[in-house]
Amino acid sequence: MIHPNVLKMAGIDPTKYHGFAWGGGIDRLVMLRYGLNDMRYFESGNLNFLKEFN
Amino acid sequence: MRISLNWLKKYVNISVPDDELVRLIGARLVEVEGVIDETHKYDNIYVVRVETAEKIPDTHLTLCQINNGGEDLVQVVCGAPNVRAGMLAAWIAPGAVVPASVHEDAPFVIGKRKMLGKYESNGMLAGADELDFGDDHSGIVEIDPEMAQPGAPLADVFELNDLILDIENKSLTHRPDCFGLIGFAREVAGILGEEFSLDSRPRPAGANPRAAALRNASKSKENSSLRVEISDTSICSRYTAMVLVKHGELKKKYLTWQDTILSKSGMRPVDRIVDATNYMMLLTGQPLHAFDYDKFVAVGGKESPQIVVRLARSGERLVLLDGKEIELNENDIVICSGDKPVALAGAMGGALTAIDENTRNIILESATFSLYNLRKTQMEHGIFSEAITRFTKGQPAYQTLVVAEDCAEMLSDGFAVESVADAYPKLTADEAVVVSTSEINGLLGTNYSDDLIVRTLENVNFSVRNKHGQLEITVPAWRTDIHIKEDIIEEVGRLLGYDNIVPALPRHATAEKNKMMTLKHNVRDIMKSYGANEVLTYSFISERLLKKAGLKSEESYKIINSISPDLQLIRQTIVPSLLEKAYVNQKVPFDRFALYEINKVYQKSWGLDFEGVPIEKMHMGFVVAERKNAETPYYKAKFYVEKLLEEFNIAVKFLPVKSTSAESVPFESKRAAEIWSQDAYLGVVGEFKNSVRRNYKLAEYLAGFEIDLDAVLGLVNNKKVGNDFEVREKLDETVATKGTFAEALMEMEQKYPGAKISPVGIYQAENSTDKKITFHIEK
Repeated sequence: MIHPNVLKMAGIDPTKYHGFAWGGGIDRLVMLRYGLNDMRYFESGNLNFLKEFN
Repeated sequence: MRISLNWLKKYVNISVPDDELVRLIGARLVEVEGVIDETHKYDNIYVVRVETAEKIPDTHLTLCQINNGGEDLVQVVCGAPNVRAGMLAAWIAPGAVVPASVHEDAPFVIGKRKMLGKYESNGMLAGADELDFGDDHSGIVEIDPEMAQPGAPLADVFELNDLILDIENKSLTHRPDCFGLIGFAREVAGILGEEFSLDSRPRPAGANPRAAALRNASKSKENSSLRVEISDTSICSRYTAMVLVKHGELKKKYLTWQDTILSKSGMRPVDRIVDATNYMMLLTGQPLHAFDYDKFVAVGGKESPQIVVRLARSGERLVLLDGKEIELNENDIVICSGDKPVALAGAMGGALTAIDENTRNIILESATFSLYNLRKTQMEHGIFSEAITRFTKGQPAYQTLVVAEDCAEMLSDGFAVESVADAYPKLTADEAVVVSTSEINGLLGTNYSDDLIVRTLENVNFSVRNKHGQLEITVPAWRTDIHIKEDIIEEVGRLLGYDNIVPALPRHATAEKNKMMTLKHNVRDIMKSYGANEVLTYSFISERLLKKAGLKSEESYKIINSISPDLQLIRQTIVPSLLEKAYVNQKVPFDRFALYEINKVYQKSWGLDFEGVPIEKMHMGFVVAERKNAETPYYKAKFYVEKLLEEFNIAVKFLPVKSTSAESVPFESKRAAEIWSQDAYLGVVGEFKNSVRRNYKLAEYLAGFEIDLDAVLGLVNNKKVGNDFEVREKLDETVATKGTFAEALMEMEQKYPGAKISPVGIYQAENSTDKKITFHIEK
């Protein structure tokens, strides 16, 4: 949950609103799903790699 | 951090099975990285009495007859110098595994064997190192005859059948109290819905902070000989020092239960004094340090100890306990005797005042230091001890005195407290928070009763006054993380389990769809249908990469603390990165491919936004490359632009390149065009300068484009984007005609009424009167 001070700083009334923040490391999930051992493949731009997912 | 479940169970009633407990701790307090199973580590190891011990002539060995509780004595050959008749020892029976080796690939199994060809030896008498209770290999362990009888399994005597929780420290950084077993146990009680009180538990350290504070207030001025001076309260909120005077020899060093706790917690037993300070730290979270009193006084050059806590001066040097000499900096907090630094506060003691076997008197330090200074000290000098790990979480000041007192109590057989000084310049008031139960239930989305909420908070020692649902809460001194009512609400939600909150859909409308996301989604669909591959490259690039594309590095924002010179600049455009990836793929080799990327770019000329932050734009870059194609690549890149923008109903025209902006720099202006839609500039398409192509070592058939997707989004026909991608039947049809293009188009429109028809290409052979026109039809 977002700390009320963060909302205040953004000009949002924390007594009226609250916020959630979360994120998923999607690349890590893909690594698990496809058994990849190196995250850098994603940014390699190598077609041999990309075509695995066509 | 390692926590023994057996130890934990002394402080809290655990009503659930161990695996459920581990799950609950993981769900409601902290990540449990692993559980080390030691339930069989000490199998077949027994307490035995050495009945006879005869030296074997001309060797260091002793032939022993031991009583293992059975009817017959057992013969063991022992090499330890301290073996003697009458002592209780730990015997590893034949067939048992040496505990120190259980986690090794090939655990060492003790057998029955003949020594020197004639002395049969059954099993072994174990040293502390073999039992995994430290590094001491000087002799075998001796067991206190008051603790055990011959034949008792060692595991029963010392509660060694245990599970050890391996706690992920980082996820507990905000909870200094949980770095002591008592604090951890209090949380476990809270999670299990049990009341936590220290009154009926062993060793009441930290039990009553209020009483400690009162005692402290009365003691602060009483002392005469011992003086503590804190130069700046922001670096040290409290410093308690206690002088212990030796009145007799500390008891013989038996293997103790505390030794096993230290070992299970990942520390090593050293000697009685150090072990006592470490044990108290593990129990309470409050690190302690022992100075040799006489050495301390000698360094200061006065009659009595004068302890000064101050920041180090640049250039001062200090030899630490481990013998390493360090140069101090102005961030380091030092403990001085008079003006001379003798310890790096919170991190490590100094060699000059180290205790040793001749130590007569001790100064016991129990203090708190600024976690920010210590964090820098830790990184600067590379010190990662159990003590500094606790200090850098911000240990609260309330318990320094009681912890020192309890530590002195552990040493009372050899030492007596002579004097105490307690510098506590700023007594901090307890925090108070007011929150109503309806606010708690409202924010959590729960329906917890007032009673349940109050009990949950009281279980972990918040004091709560309930006035018709309005809770007036006093925060315990150790909860340095609780300040506002949201903190209390979170506390209730966490202790009762977030998994007990019933999932419900939000009772408000969902946010508007992000139009850029939708646009990107559609772009991807279109590019995929035309066979292009999306790539993802780094936003941080090297100067070399920019120069290859003909761009100037001074037009790029620079990263001050980049991790590598290759990632020093922020890119102005996408295409240079794509050209590099085109090279990689052409080398593989791939003969034909098209790559594109959608990402943010930054050009200095765009200036800053209203917050003074560089303006960023969403660009799309595209490169098509082939190795064996003699045609004009310009048309291929243009084809992709047209197809793409056509899908969004954006009519474009291609005008001569006049702009000198970063995206047009790599393109050869005579073989490129600017992309415009009405008055809006969208980007540039075409072939690249020969110099650029050669810099990237790419084959001749090479073209691309770079467009501004923010500008495209501004023009997008809302009717089309925003809906999910339309599925239309698509086909291409080629007609041969002698007539005009317009006539052929009309013919197609009649053939496919209502369809979207667009020309793909016109071809007329040199010697032919017919032209072939290919249309793309979407029904």
